[in-house]
Amino acid sequence: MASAVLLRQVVKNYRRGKESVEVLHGLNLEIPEGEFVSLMGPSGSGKTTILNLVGGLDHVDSGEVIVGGEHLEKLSGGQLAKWRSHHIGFVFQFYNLMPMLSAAGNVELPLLLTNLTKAERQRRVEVALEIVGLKDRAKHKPGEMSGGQQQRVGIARAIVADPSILLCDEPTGDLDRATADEILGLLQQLNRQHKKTIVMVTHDPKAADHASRQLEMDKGSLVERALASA
Amino acid sequence: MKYVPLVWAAIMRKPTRAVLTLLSVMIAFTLFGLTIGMNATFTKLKAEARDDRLFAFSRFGGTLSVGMERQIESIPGVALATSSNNLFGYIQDPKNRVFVQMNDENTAKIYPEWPITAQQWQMVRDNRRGVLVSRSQADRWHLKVGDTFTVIAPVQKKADGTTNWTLQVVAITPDFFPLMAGYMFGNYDYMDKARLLSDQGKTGVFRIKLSDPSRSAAIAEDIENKFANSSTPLQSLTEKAAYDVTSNTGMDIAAVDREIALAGMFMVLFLTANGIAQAVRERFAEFATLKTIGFSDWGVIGLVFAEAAIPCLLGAGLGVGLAEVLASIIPRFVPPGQGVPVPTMTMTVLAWAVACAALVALASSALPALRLKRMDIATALSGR
Repeated sequence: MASAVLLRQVVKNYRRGKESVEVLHGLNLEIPEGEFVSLMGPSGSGKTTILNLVGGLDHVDSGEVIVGGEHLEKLSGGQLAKWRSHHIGFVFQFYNLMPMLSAAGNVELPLLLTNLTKAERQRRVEVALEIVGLKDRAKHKPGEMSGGQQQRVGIARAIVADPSILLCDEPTGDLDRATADEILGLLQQLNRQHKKTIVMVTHDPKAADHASRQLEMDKGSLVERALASA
Repeated sequence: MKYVPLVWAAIMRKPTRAVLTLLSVMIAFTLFGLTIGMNATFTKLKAEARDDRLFAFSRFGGTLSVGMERQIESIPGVALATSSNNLFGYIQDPKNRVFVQMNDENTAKIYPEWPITAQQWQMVRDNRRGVLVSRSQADRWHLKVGDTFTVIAPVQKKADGTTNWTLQVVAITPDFFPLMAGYMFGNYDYMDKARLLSDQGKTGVFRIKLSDPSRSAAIAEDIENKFANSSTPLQSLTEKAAYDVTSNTGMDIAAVDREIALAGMFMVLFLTANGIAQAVRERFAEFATLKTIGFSDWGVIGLVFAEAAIPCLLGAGLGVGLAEVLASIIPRFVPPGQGVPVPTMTMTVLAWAVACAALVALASSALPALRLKRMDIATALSGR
């Protein structure tokens, strides 16, 4: 199976004042297409950094980041933005919805970057909201919805442009157990039925159990975790 | 167009702030419209003023003998001179101020461009108490042809000791520039013969038509020289010079107007810049989200510019509209016939307002845009 994500000898440093902190040193990672991978590890271990690198939100200091066959380290900011709009869907811990827009308005945002007609955009928004089970809440604003519903809107926004990869940063971190399970079930459904490659950062081992592969950051390196079901 | 709902939602996120900003911008552009509109009036006044007409009035103030009219007409290059007097007063109540210009028969020849027919001038000649009332004045005082009204002129006594001047409307005539507040034109002879004997045969100003406009400056000097040693020395200047507010008043009123408008624009700039900076600061993470899902730097900057431009352009349109309404109301509070300038709302004024609004929007969104361009998405998303 082809690689959806390929990280080779990735080094990433951050500056904290005058000090340079090496977060990733020579990291290698390969995620095949259609895989649901969870990334665990303590705070500051570099989980979100990996997600940002794969999503083209951050640049490596050295090494290669190849996502969907594209060398991200070679793309400019503008090229990365365009690439993200086509290939990546982001799901955030705190949903990051626009409070002044309705659910449909939020889901439509990525489609504004396309040349689709208004009617086609509306049709796709309806489909995305139907997938996440919120078709009847299309006109509701985020403030009128529960956390779980808001995260569903966030997922609908992530999938509406039909990206091949979903990057989820603690998608259930702000939800209760039952709601978290619903969201994780939805992500599993997207992975299995819609063939989305999913990379999910989480602190929650139970959430990680929903992935088909579990990785853990350990001192800047990744180690495989045995699946709970194994 | 597809981004409009997004921008509009962002603006209306704080409705009170949005409305107050819009009102402030609107008021500033009202001031802008009135001042630039006033400049447009000055420009038009100067452009339409003619070199073949002169005004001559007493150098040291006071009235002049109408006998001087014939002497002025004898000066080479002068075609014609006319006397006129003004009746200052009110109708019924002192707050209903009116101003009736009492003209002699030469006025029609000196001002052929006025939209008054020879027949209408003749009506004033035929009816000594007759007045031509402009449409706006007729509407204001609810006058129609045949109506009689009384102007009470406290400082202009009649020979019988009264100050009541009874006039009759003989025709309703069109309004015209530069008498934007309208006018009432009466019969000079009626006024002259009816007033106190000591006041008869006097005029405030001579209006002079030249047969040789190319010598207007020399003729003006000739007129002044002719009466230099008389008891009432004259000052004479061309209509063009008289209507040039800069040379006339000794100060560049147009520049003052522009500076007032500029001060208003700076007020709008600071207000909008503060508002947009605050909006971007409050929604920094949201802009980071937009960039995450694929909006380019310029796309996000465009949204911020639109967020600044919409209230500016809307405020500019509404402000100029309000200025136009005010400009149409102002003549109601100005006594007619005095030629008090009133702002002229032209498409140029609107175009200036729109250009300034766009410039203000551009300038006010520049710093927030720069901040968004330099945004580190990962850091902004983490809330650091």
